[in-house]
Amino acid sequence: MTDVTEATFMDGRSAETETVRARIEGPYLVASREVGAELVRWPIGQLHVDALNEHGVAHVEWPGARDAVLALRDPAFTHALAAGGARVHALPFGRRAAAIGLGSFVFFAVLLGLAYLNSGVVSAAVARRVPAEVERALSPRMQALVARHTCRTVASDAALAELRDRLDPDHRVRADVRIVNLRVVNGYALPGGVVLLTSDLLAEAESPDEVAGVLAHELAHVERRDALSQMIRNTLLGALWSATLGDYSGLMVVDPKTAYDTATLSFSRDEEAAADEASVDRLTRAGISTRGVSRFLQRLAESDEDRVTWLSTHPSPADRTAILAAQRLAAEGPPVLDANAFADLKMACTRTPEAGSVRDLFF
Amino acid sequence: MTTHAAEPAEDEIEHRVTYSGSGSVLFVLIFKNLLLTLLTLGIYLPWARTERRRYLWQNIAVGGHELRYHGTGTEMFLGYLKVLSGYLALVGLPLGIAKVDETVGRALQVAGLALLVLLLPIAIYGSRRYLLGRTSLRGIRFGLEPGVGGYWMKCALGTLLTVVTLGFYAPVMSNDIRRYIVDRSRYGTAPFGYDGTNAAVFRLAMRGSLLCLLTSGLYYPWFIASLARFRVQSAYIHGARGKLTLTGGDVLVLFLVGTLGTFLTFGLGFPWVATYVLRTLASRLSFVGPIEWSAIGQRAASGNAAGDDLANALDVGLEL
Repeated sequence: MTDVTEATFMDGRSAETETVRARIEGPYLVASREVGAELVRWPIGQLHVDALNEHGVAHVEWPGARDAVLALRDPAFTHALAAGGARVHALPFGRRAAAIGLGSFVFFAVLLGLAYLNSGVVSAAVARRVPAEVERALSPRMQALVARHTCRTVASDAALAELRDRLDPDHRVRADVRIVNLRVVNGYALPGGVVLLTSDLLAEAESPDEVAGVLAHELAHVERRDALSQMIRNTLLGALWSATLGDYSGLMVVDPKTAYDTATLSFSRDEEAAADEASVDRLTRAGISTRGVSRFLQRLAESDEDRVTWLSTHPSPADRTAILAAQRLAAEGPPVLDANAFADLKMACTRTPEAGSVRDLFF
Repeated sequence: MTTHAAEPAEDEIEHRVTYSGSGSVLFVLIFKNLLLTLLTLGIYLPWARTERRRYLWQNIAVGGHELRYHGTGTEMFLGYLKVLSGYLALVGLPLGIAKVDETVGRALQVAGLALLVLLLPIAIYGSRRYLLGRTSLRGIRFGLEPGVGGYWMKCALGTLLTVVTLGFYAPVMSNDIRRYIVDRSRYGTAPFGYDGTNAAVFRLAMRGSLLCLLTSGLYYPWFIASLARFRVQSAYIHGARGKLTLTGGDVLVLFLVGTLGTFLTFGLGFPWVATYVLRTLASRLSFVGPIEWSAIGQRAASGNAAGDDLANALDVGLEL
């Protein structure tokens, strides 16, 4: 053990420093000039030692001597002080450092991974407990925009009601289904149970069964509360990440990613796959052939028009066509709507010129 | 009279800056602290930041003496709570009010955001004041005198003039602000000074901008290096003046190492990148000339942690 070492004494009153000899005398750390007076006699048990320097420099302070510091350059002497009861703040070095570093990294990654993997389950459970009215109140501007571009005639309302009654005869899904004048081929499930079928989607559809397939899919999103679940999930993960990094924007109610996801209404692959499964079930129960929507998806996949956005906001077309291709209801039954009702649906926006046509509802 | 050939003349005394930290220890610190911060849902952050600073400071030496950081996690946490309350009042409250009355809520949101922008200079000054007040060398603390009002005015006026002059005033504004801060900085009882003139920095900026334009931006690292050298060499304390030997090549290498080292390793290489950057910058920095250490006395610590927390919240902190 090193009992005596050279040190630098700083009295805390001026920036002048002095080289001194430091030694341990029983319970005390003593520093004195080579020849002359004793400068320091500090009780080791009350010392604070900062040993964070990678060259082994340690700064020793005693609360009783305000601002005075003793800088030691001998790690063995610092160890001796620690053994004597001094409070040493040191960083781990060598193997211990590697173990702590790697352990922390792995634990951190696992925790984040678990949070990410379970966030969907948690947010879906929370979403199911939020009343639909509260969910709708979360996006008042979006609701206003939808109302401005809604196309409706008495005949189209009747056709939509007929379609809904076939798909959801008990009206268990609290959805507000609308036709909107949008120049994109898509269907949306907005927060608050608002389902949108765009004018171009209806124009593109060649049979009412194709529209029924899309509507069944969007109703499944509403039933599962996917829109709200997505908002909650993004906000939870965003807040967790922000809190970890100290970014206060994570405390905002809706972060930019959530706002974007909500605006584009894109759901995760799992949510889309689940909605596909549910829509097939619903079509099967309603006695509507899934061939229609299967053909529709195939046609859209082959289209290179940029207004066909269904596949971009509804990922994994290969997976979903595989689900639909299974065609649990193989037989092609009579169409879900007659020709007149289908025409009323397709003409809804032509007959409602006041619902202005737009390329994008959300941007 | 006998002269000692080995001893440099007083005006040649060089107080070199060095950084002795390592990437591996920084890696341990960063991930240990990230983990604890995640586990405590962010509450540990002030202590994490304090520990990182203590490590960085103690591995930076000036003239062979290490810096020390005296801030505590507790005071940073209290500052964090103050800032959080202010943030919730400025951002959260208008969001809540917007649910009841959208017009009033929106107006308050705009007003809150405008106020946050106006707070930027106060946050920057407060952060520098806190950091300097918690840093010591040779047992003596640094400090920054009060003067946030003047700083705010300089920033506001400078921004206005920069807009009016289509950006031409920007280098002068930046130099004015730097002078304001350095002239109010002190080491114990010894004040720092800054004598870089606006005319000189304007010439430097115009020349640099022109060369950047002519070389399609390739000159930019050399421009940055020349500005950094000018700023450091314009600062002095006692008889010693700042000296920076950073070259455009250094800046280019630092940029490449920083970008590639961080992105190619998905951020895992950051501690080693940061260590390389700090080592390079420190090795190019020194103070040349005599400093009469015995004439420099202690002064009380300045600033409080709320300024630093606010600066970090507004993303204008030093990220240390």
